[in-house]
Amino acid sequence: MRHLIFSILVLSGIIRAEAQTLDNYTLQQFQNRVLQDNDTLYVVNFWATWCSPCVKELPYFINLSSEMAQQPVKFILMSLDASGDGNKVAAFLNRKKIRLETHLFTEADPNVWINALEPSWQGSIPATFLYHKGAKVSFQEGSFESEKDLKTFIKNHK
Amino acid sequence: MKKIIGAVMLVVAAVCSSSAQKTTATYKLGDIVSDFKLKNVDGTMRGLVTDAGREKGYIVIFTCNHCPYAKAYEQRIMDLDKNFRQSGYPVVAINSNDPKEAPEDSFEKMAERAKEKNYTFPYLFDESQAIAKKFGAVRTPQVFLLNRNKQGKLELVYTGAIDNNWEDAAKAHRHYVEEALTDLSENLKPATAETKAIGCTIKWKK
Repeated sequence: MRHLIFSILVLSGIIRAEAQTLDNYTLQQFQNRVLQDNDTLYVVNFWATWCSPCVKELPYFINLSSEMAQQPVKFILMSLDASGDGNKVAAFLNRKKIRLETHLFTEADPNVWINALEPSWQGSIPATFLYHKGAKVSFQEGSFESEKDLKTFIKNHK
Repeated sequence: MKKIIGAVMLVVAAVCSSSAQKTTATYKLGDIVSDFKLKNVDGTMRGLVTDAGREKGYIVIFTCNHCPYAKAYEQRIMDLDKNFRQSGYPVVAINSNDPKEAPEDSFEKMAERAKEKNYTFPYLFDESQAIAKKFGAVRTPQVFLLNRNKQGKLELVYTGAIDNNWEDAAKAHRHYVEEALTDLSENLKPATAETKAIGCTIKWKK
């Protein structure tokens, strides 16, 4: 049953990434998605289409996702674009041919949800989290210098 | 092994931060803030204080032209100055972004923006980025509320967001800066002294 739910979630993620718009994701939905008791390492990047350092590092995530396709690693993009901009984000992803699972994060009160996710997070993006076996195992505020830099960040927790 | 490295790094970090405190410590809540001089969009050099007798404090806001969050908050920043200048808390806006990284945030573009929108407050260019570093500003927009204490010094009493809904001012149900100013008017320390918000990273020089 759990596998079935998992498959549906994964599948819906793929469908979302290719759809015309993105669903809004609450803090609760986000936590349900990444805090799972399985072997998958979740690499979650908070970004936005208008954030140039975020867009610059997206290829690192895309390339590593292909490279690690056979491993239990799941890359997820959490867009912090405006809550009404799901279409815009979807169009951006289509244009750039980005197939990573993407959600639009629209939890309302940042002073609540930023602290809930990571108390040391000052609120600047990009920011990247690693979740494994139902717990947060790593966090970085700010860009990665290179694909290698991101790979090291991931490998250190595998 | 990883634990040892972690412990070593912690010690190094602790040593670095304690030695750094002597020279480049950033302001913490309750710290006394020194005035500074930066180039304003009108071409003059100025800092915080213009009339120490009337000004009870300053709403210092690190902001910029290009960031969508800063744009979303622009009207609210203008309103803060209109609403609180008279009661002694004018806005002082500062842009610390490196124009090489964010061309919309050049001094010329700042001046254009201030003129176009009739800013009633100074909009200062922190070209060396020293003031952002001194304040520990990390994103735009980010507020640092200063209050003149009994000794006449400017004390940092609040840092964080303007309110808790960047997309829609009407939907914000916490107005942090206004709440802090209300507390100050009643001679209280702001009950909420620090808040977080998503913002654009300050574009540091490379």
